[in-house]
Amino acid sequence: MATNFIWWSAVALEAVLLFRGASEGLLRKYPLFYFYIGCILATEFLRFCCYEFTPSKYQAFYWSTEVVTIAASYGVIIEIFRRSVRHHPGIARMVQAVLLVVFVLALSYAATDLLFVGAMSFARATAELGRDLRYIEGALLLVLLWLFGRYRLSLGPDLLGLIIGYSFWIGFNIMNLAFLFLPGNEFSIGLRKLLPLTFVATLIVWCVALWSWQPEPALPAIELERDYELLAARSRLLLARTSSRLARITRP
Amino acid sequence: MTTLAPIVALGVLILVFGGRLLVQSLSGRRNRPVTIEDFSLARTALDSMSLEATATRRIFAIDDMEFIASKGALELEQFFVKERRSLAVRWLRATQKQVAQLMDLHLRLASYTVEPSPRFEFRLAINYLCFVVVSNALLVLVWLRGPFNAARIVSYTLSVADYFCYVFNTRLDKTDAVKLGVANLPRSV
Repeated sequence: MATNFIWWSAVALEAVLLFRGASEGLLRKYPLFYFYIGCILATEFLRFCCYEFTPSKYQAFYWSTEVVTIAASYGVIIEIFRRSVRHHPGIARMVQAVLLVVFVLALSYAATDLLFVGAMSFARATAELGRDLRYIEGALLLVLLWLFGRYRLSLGPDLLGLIIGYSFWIGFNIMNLAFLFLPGNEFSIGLRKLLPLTFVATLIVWCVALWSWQPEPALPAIELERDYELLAARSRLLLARTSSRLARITRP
Repeated sequence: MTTLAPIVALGVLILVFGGRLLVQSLSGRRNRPVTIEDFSLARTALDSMSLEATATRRIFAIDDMEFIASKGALELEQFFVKERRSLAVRWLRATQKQVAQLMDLHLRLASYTVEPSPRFEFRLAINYLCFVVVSNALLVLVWLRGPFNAARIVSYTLSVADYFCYVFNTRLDKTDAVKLGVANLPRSV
């Protein structure tokens, strides 16, 4: 009964999100995010049909569709990145480089896992692929969150809500997946029960944040500085002087 | 179990960083662009830091302590050490606060820089991290052993504070104050 209630709540909230997005013109502002929500809604409908008509194939179907939704959720990362750094071209370049490095590293880590896929069942192999994709996504999100915090980027309330909800969902999902693949862990059972609730909580956050079109925060004129190279060169010189002074101080 | 730890850490870090982002945004500082007021305050802070340098060295100078010790009055000596310790701690906390504020301003300005140097930003971050560690170590040292036994570490803290002053001063010199915001006005897009 409670499970059904949570499931129906999630479906209703996803429908509300899509409806509000269409009526407020947010679909154009965050197309990849709404594509992800649409993808989840469609997946849930298909899973429901599969469960009703071919329950024996449900497990394999569940993990295949999970991989599709995880792949679609990469769109949310792209959306967050695109919207948050569009007034910060310098930061955008830096973030792009860091994200690329993290993506390549995480992908290589996941690829080593996939080498052992041959001996597994299809359902297990897709489940592991989904898990690895989620881990990579988590690493990318962590880099983005760190950079947003470090450079104090101005975020509108809707984008902030999107990021907070997404971080909450991905953070819990990653922990759940980690414990799920560790058999016999009591903690994973509790986390698995909590996961649908966290998704509903995430959808509530998104509904509140994306209920209507929000004004963007005020931004100063770009190109506040003219000679960054000169500044960096002077700073480097002073850094060298400070280091030599430090060496002199610490010398016995 | 060994592979589980980094993954759980990743999940926890995402939640922590997400929470921090929310707290920063709710405190209202994030959404406020750098204003002319911030700019002027930073300039004042920088000026006061360079003016204070001589007075600061005096707080930790051993000469005064030697003079008081030569008088042979133990009570006076204890009072003097107590007073200097409290002054040193207050100076350290004020310096930490000022450097943190300047770093905050630097990062907010850096986000609008068209061609930032990742290498320079990385080195600045490392220097700031070192400053935080050393200044906190100095605080503990001053509490435990008094201000007169921390001369070397004080020289380091002062030189790093000087470095930050220079970096921030150069940045502020290069900043076109006219282009900064004057008030927190929301802008519809």
